[in-house]
Amino acid sequence: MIENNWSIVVIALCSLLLVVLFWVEVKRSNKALLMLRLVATLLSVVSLALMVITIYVTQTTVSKKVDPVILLSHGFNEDSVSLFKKMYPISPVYFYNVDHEKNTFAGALEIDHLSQLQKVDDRQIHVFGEGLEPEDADFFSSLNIVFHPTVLYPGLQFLSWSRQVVSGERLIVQGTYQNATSSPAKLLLAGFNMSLDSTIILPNSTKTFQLSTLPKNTGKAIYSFVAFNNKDTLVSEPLPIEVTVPKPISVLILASSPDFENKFLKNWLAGHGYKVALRTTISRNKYSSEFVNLASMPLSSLHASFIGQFDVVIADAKELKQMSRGELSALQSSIDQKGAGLIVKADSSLTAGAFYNRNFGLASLQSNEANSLLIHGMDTSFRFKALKADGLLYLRSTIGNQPVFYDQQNHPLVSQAIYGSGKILLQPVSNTYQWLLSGNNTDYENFWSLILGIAAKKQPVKEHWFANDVFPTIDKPVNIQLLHSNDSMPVAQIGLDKVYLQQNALLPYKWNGMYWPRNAGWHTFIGSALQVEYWYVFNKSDYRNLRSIQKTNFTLQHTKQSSPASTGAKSNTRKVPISIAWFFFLFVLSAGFLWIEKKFL
Amino acid sequence: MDNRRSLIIIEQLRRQWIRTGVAANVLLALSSIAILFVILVKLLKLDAWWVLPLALLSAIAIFLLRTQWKLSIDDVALYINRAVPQAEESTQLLLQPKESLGFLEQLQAQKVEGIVTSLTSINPLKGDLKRALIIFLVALSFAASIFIFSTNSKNSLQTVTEATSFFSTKPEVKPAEILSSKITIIPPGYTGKPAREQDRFNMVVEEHATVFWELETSSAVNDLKLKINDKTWLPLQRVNANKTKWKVQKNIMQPGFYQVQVNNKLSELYRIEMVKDKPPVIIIKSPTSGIVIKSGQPRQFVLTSVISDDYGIKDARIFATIASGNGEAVKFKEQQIAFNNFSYGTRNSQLQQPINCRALGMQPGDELYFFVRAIDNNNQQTRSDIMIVTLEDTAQLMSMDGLVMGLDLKPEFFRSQRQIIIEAEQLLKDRDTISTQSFNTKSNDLGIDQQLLRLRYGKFLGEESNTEIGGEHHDHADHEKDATPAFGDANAVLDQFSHKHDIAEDATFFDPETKKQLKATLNEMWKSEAKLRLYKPAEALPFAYNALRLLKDLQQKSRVYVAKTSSKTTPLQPKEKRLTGELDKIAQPTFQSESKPENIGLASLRQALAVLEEMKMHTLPADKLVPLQQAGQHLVEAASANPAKYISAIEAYKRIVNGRTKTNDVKQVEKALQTLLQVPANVPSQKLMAPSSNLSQQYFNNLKKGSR
Repeated sequence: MIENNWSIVVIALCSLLLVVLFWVEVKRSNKALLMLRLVATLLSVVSLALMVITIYVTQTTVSKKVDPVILLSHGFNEDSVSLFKKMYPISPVYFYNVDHEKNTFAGALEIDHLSQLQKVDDRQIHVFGEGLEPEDADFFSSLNIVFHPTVLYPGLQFLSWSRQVVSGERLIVQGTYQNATSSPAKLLLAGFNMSLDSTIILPNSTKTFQLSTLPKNTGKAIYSFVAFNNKDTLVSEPLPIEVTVPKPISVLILASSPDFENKFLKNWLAGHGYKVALRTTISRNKYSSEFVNLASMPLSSLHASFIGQFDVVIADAKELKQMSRGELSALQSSIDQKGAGLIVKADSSLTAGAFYNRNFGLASLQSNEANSLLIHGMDTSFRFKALKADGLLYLRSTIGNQPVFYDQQNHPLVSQAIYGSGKILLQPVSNTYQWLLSGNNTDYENFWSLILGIAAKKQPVKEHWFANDVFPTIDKPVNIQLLHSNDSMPVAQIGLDKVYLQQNALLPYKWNGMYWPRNAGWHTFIGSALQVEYWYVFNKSDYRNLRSIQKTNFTLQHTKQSSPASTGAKSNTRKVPISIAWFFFLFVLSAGFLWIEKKFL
Repeated sequence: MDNRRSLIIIEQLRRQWIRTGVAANVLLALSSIAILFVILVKLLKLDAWWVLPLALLSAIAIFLLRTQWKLSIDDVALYINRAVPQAEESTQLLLQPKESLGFLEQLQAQKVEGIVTSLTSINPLKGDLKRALIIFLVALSFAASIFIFSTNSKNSLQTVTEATSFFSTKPEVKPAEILSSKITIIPPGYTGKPAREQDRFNMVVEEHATVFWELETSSAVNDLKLKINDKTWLPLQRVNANKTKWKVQKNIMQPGFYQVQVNNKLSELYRIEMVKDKPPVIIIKSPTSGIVIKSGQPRQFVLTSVISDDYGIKDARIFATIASGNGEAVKFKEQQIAFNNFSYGTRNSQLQQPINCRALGMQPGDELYFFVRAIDNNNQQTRSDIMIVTLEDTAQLMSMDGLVMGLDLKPEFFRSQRQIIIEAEQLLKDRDTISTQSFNTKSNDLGIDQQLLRLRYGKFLGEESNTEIGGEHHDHADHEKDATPAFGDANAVLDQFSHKHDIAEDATFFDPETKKQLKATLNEMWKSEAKLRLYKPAEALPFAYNALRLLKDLQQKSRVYVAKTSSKTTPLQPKEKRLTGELDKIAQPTFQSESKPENIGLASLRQALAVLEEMKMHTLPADKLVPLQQAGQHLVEAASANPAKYISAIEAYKRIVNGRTKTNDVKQVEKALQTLLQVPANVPSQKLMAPSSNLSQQYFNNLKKGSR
């Protein structure tokens, strides 16, 4: 009951007072009624203290038995509801978000919103079925709700996929599937009426799965996730995906000597219409320069504004060593300030302690370990064909860098580190062109696309719109979010409708809004710069299972579990403060006794 | 009382037995039909009509073999006589008319009648029926299990084909005006196939086949054309004055599709699929390439090859080239050898040809190069790989040529390998004239020589020699006689007391390949020595020869000839040109180029997929269909190369573009494009950075300040 320092101060003062008063009482020459006086003193001091400190008692109030309200949400079990209804025959029954084609119940009234429940006050609300919507949270937190969830939702338990992929990247669909049937279920990733990937879930098992494909289209498309056993289709859900065209990057290659690696890299990038500048040292301060899709310019000395044009700089260790102090600082500042990326082709001549080598540690293998190099990525998605091991170098994993590729002994082989607003990568493999020579173009493309993609300077956008719901659904409110870099007031438009936004108080670039989509399919966000972004609104029937699971979990989290014993009269315990009047009365009584004893006895 | 009743009973029995027998036969026939059906239709995938005659035949065979249905009353009576002792062999009496029986016979007949009338349930064929029933059930279950198994596997196939069956052919629709059509396909001569006729417009033809279209229209038409591959027109010629019969011919050079245009109305698309002639395939089974015929082996081998072609082989022969002599005197002689058992026009033939090197005029040391060439009816030829057969030349091994240039002029006081061979051969010749004792002694002497030679060569490999030849002979005792080592020379002291074995350092440094061969030589020498010591010089000879050949090879390997060059270089002027260290005259080259991304045409195909996806949701304005139109060109190209796969997609595409989209059209085109498109290349792409404000910038700056 002691709650703060104030109470402690009061108690301390009162104890002091008590000691003093006791002393006075004991020392008094008239010893008559000593015990009585001491008790009266104690009582008066205690009641004085308790007048200042509030104390509580727990009080159990038993309310009288009332008939609960029955609220039926989608997927309720008719039998269990009628059983419940038999116990409480006069309970009112309401439908809330019920698909009447599947579920009916005689005598139930339809409501559209929880606020329409009449005269519930303290009455219990028994919710059957999948539960309540998250947007109802404000209403039902004040209500006394008992939830009877429908237990079984076999089938799709979870599904996630990237809604936007760049052409050439793999579309990965991951999820969990519970196969409650006695025959194996086949899961299919389909697109354009062809099955693109499939997997099988054994009978009576729950498994996570991953399906993937390389989308061949660009633009918006609806792939689909299908599950079937034998002949029956169990699940068929849309997977809306936007495939964007890759945004070209510009690359500056600095080489200390001509080699195949740079030549093949330059040709490969040029083949896709990218901007490449290649500077190769011929002799001291003599360079050969090549420009693809760029105007030629002298490259004998690099300065910040020139490097600033490029998204990625690739340089070998020797060249970095040879570079003048001015060139190096120009390079450093363009990484640090402008966000460009640097890929260092490391070898043993790497300058220790240079800015580009600060977060890495280079080590060399014992030469007898292997003569071929098998590179792989973080997971199974990247497994490359063997290369001839020539350098036998690898990176030590140290604090501050994150490995991108590993060799067969799981040593980090390519690593990235953040440097200011840019990235620095260390890459000791110098014969990746052998993949191209042996026809493994895919390996070469995957390797360099990933590295260059990581290193490339990121393009800042002024606005980014997104729907904050996993499954924006027709006729349900969708939380719209905007990230906006200007200080100006953003204007939002979805299709032809205007949406009004509210600024986030803590993060001023964040704006929130609400939108009720009236039809399913692709929708547009049209921002202030008339830039269009797409999002997809699902039908009510899409991902029914996932939403049911979501709703059930949500309702369970926010309500008490139903317990049969508590369904009748409810007992409520709460803390009630004891009124000061009692202590005042006690104080007057005991103090009065002391006064009367001194005065008259 | 008459024997009518007994007759009736016997007749009943006969009928009952016949019924049973026929039932058994029917069961057997049914089981044979069931088995035939599953074997023919389900396993061999033949047409179900094949089952009918075979089933009939088997049924007839069963009925002919099992003749219970021919049972007569006499047979029944005979059986009753045999089976029922009480009948006392007199059942026949009941079959005869009463009047014809004598008194005793009548009495007997009456007696037997009582017995026979009680026989209602006797049936000798019951067991037969049971057996037939069992056979039938077994056959049925066998058939059913195969049926279920095969339909199951077919089901799984079906799901696969369902996924890909968008290209599947549907029954073709002819233009309404065409009353009848006769399409004659004359396959080219090389196929050896007769001309064939069909009334369908879709066709599968051989390369270079001639196709005649003869069309009859229901009413007179003014104009009848074929539109081929969506670009060329082929007008038909009128045959009769009524303008109802038309014809045209065309030589098919490439696959594609066509439409029939009647009075400016185009029909649907029809496929022309082309079967290309494949070149012959030659597989040479023997000999394997690079064989060496050693001396003593028969100078003959058999060439076995399998040649196959899809229509027929016109010619197959062996082209042999003999290379003789060496160095500059090498001569080539070419010869063609026909296969003895080749027959013209066969599709698949296993050919064998014995080749006699002596008959070809091959001398020892010559090499035979040969290959097989086959020409098919369409004059396409294929050559096999070139095979090499070498005749071993032992004379070459004996030649002194290799040694003339030798640098070691020291007289060798031990026999060389060649000497050992010559002496061994001489010893064999002298065998009959000398005593066994001296033969054995000489053989043993040769063995010793062989040993000495082996030890000498073993030195090169660092082997320890127990009896060293040529070098100073030192024992461990010798060490003591040697001059006392200098004081403080630790190595010398060590040498004094240590015993050194097989020191690899002592071995001459050879590359591993040479060492390997040297080891093989020593091995051969060792075997030769063993045989010589066993007084078997004849058996030692092959090993000795082998050793000699390997040694010669080793000698040849060590000689590399480098021709002298006679060119003169201009004298250098070091003072003017060299070591000045000036770089100012070095130009800095600059190259500038432009390149466009590859596969720009495919980009429109990829966009077209998105357009089609959008079409599924709502109709699109015409300006959004541009990528689709570009995709059309790709589709037409694909369809002319592979009509069976893409023709229905072309039709669907045309309906979409003309705004007469049917259900499934969009899906069909999508599917075709998806099949047509390659997987896009993975190229680096710039990522987007989420919008940030001054706040994030400040945060970043502060963070940096903090870290410094």
